[in-house]
Order: sequence, then structure tokens, then C-alpha cells
Amino acid sequence: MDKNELQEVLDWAKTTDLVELEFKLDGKGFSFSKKPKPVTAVCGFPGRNLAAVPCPGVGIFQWNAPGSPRLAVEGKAVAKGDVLGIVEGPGAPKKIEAPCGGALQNVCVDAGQTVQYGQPLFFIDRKD
Amino acid sequence: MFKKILIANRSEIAVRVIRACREMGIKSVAVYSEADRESLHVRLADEAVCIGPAPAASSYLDVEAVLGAAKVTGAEAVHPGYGFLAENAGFCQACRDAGLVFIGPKPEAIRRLGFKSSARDLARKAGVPIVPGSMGLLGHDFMAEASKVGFPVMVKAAAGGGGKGLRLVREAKDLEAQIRMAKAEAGAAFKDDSVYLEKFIEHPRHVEIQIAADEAGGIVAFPERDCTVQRRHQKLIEESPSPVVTSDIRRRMQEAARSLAKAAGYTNVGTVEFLLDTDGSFYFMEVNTRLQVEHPVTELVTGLDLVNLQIRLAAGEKMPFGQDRASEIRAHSIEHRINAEDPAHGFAPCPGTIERVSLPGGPGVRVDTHIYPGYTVPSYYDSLIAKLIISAPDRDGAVARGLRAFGEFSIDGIKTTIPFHCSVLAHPLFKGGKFDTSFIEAMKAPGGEPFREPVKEGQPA
Repeated sequence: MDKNELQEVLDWAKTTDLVELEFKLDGKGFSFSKKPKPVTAVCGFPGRNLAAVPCPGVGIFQWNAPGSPRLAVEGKAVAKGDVLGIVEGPGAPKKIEAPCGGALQNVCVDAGQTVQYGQPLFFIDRKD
Repeated sequence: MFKKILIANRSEIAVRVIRACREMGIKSVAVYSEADRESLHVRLADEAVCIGPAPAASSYLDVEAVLGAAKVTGAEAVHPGYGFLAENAGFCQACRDAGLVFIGPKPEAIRRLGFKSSARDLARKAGVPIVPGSMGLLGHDFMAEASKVGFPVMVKAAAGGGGKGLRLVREAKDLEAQIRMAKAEAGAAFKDDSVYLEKFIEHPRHVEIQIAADEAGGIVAFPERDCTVQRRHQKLIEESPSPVVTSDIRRRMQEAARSLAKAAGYTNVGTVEFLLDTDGSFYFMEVNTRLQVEHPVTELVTGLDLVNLQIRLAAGEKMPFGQDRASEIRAHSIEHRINAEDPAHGFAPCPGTIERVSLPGGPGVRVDTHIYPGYTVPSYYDSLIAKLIISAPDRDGAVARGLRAFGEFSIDGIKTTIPFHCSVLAHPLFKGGKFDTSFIEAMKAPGGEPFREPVKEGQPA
């Protein structure tokens, strides 16, 4: 295999989500591997389009208004505008709405926790 | 005493309050906007809460966000610093309603003194001299009113502001025409053409008295601060004692400030501002119902800690000393406000990243600042980045020490007002102590002293 051929293979590999590529000459075979998704998502992770959902204010985080079901569960699909939680402060509770649709990749907050402005509370793997 | 205090402010004053808290064994909570994430007050406080985006209206001025931060951190008291919510009676009330102690006066006192007209009425009733003027709005008897006040007089629009409807009249023969013009201007600007008269003070000095009061009615007044060096009503240099105030004027000013504080039911620290005429008479201007930027001048002159006192008084403690101690003058002090502004280009704001800082030190030199190398001065807030406060046994010593300190003081990366302060200190009028509030404008006039760079060691002067 010459350098140009190798370059062709590398260019092709870049268009896939492969993280390992094995090549044997005499034993003939090929081996590919795709690693599982990392547990902790990082914004700007290559090949991923994660959107952070920042906290809109200072106060206590709750999943929803009392008596309403919790919508934000890791792995669940959310639509743009879905209420993921609320922040209770001295004024009216502030709703935390999904800025986009996709799969809820990470939930970084729990009910009763104190939160501050701008703190990332969720990461959504964007689908739209 | 409080266990935890939230500081609803930023910059050097937040740092100043955090320092006082630490010395008193009180935990401090800083609040900050997204633009102040790297600010020193965030680093120095025991806890810090981000309360909003960069614009002050959605962070430092957002009452809900500030109260929310106090709630989640379990703070018992709120120190408002100066500016932002410091003189907001609504915020003061909201703190009380939320079960928090507001470190400052009661909301009723802020309301009484916050409006110029009600503060003037209160001053008149308390026997505090106010600038002589027409009683109420001008009618057809304006000539009689003007001669009672005495020329020169200022014609002012009742709905005034921004210099609109403002006319200086030196002689009686011009009065009628100038009143007509002022009325036309005021009517066009404010849809209200009512005007009134005030005596025009030819060479005024801005002199103010710091006061402190406890809940039990103990009121003290400190030595005056002279804030005559101003540019467009912005104080640039403050000193104490004033080079022109005699002990008799000082005593009368202190008495006036104390009786006004008593009449207003004032508690905690505050400042009564006066205009001082060349003949020694002084007139009430307004009350600042908060800690002042220039409070360190009084601290260095008296050897007292005003922020510590403020916190103690808010916690309900009695005034720990009497008037005799409060009026003791132990040094001469001059404060220089260092702004991120370019004095060579009309004092244009000059935000940006500070590359290097070298702060002055040695005897009698105090620097209150929140800057450090690598700090970026945000463009959202006021441009004060440091205060150099000098103390020395006398005024000449303080001026010489100030010049020495500025020689050591350098801030690289942004333009600052340091060169401006050097030229003021070196100016013969400033050295002589004889100037009025127009001093800075006069300095810029042709033939005035140009702004000089500070002379550094090893460099030709």
C-alpha cells in the first residue's frame, strides 16, 4: 500500500464515526471498532451537537410545578419548548425550557439543589 | 453579630466590604454578572453566586436575583456598597420583607432624603442653610424676589435637568429677558415652563460631612471632605481636612449635618453635601444615604473603620464613640480616583485587558482596587478601577507623598487617569489649595498645565 492509497483510507475513515481501524496483510482480515458514548458529555465533542441549557436565574431547582410530572429524564427525547424544570426564587418561578429538540444527554441537577444564573443544567444532543 | 453578609455590588467596594467582613469573622457572599466572573471580589469572597448577564439591569440591579442569592446562601444581611441598589428605598424595603438586614438607613429615611425637594424642606425645617432662592415658583413679582436673593441669580426650570432652562443672570436689567428664554426652553424640553430663582454661588467648593447614627439616636459627624476637584460633577480627588475650612466652619457644618440626620430619623452612615461660598457661608445640597466612594479619606484622617462601623450599627450596636472622637483630625488625607479613561482624549472610557500592574506602597499609601495583571476591565460598568488614598501629617506632605506614590504606580494595557492626577498634584493652584469646582475645566483651557506622565526612577524628568 503506497502513501496515496493510505491517504485515501484515512480520508474515508474521517467520514465515519470509527475510532479504531485494524488492517492485516497476510492474515487478510479487517477490524473496525466503535467505542461507546462517553458518560460525561462535553460541549463541542466531535461529531456531536450538544446544546447546553443554562440556568435562567438564582434559586432552588425543582423538576416541575408541584403535582406535575417530571419530564427531564436522561436519554429521553425532548421537543423545543418542553419544560425541563423550574427555578424557585423570591419572585415568580422561572421555567427552564428546552432551547432545541433532541435527546436529553445529561441532567446535571437534582430537585432541591441551589442553582445560579448561567449554570449548565442539561445537555441536549440536538436533532433539529 | 451577623454570621454571613451578602455584598450586592462589584469592583473595589465589594472587595472593601469583604475585607471588613473577614476581619470581623463574618462570612461573605459575592454576587456577580457573567462579565465579572474573573473579578477579584468573586475570588476573595467565601462564596460567590452568578446572578445574571452583563447588563446591570439584569444582574446588579435585579432585586429578585440579589434576594435569591441571599436566600440560597443563607445570608442574614445585605451590604449594598455604593451605586446600583444602594439608595433604592424599594430594595431596602424588599430586604426587610425578605427577613434580611439592609446595611444602611431605613427605607423611610431614604425616601425622605432621596427627593431633592423633600430633602430641602427637611433641611429648612431643621435650620440647615439652603441656597437662598425664590419661595416656590416665579410669578409676576420676579424682580422683587431677585433683589431679595441678590444678584447674580440662577433661573432654574422646576422640571429641570441636563442644563435645560438654566440661565445665569448677573444684572437686574437682563432678568426679564432671561426668564422669558428659560421659560421657553423649559416649556419645550419638559412641557412645563415653571421656573424658580436661586442665588448663584460664584466660586463654590464642594464640601461634605460624613455622619453615622445608631438606632438609639446617637449621631456623630466626622471632619469634612473637600470634593471640589470635579469634572462634569464627577468627583476626581477628595481630601480631608479641606484647605479652606476653618474649625469654626467645620463645627457649624457638623452641627448642621447632625440636626438634619436627627430630623430625618437617619440611621447608619451617610453624607451631607454642602456648597461652600468664599465668605465661609455654606448651603445644603443633598444627602447621600450610603457609604461614599471617598469614605477612606475619613478613615485615614480619623483612624476609624467606617465599613466595620456600618456593619455594627446595622446589627443594632450602639455608637462606640462620641462626637469628640469622631471629630479628631489625626492626619491629612487625599484620595485619587483612578479611572480606565483616556485623559488625553476627553476622558473617553478605555476598557480592556490589564497586562501589568505595579502598585505603590510604603508609608501612608493605601490602594483600594479590584484589578490584577490579566484582569479585563468590562465595558458595562463605571470606569473606576482603583483608589489611591494618601495620608501624611499635613497637606504638603500628602501632596509630596502622592507624587512619590504615582511615580511607583503603573498600569499597562489600558489608558488610565494616572497622568491626569500627577498634573493636578503638581499644579500650583492645587498646591496652594485655592480653587473652585471649575478648576479642572480651567486646567484644560489654553495656557493651562498640560497633562504630564509620571516621572519614574531612572528616567529623565
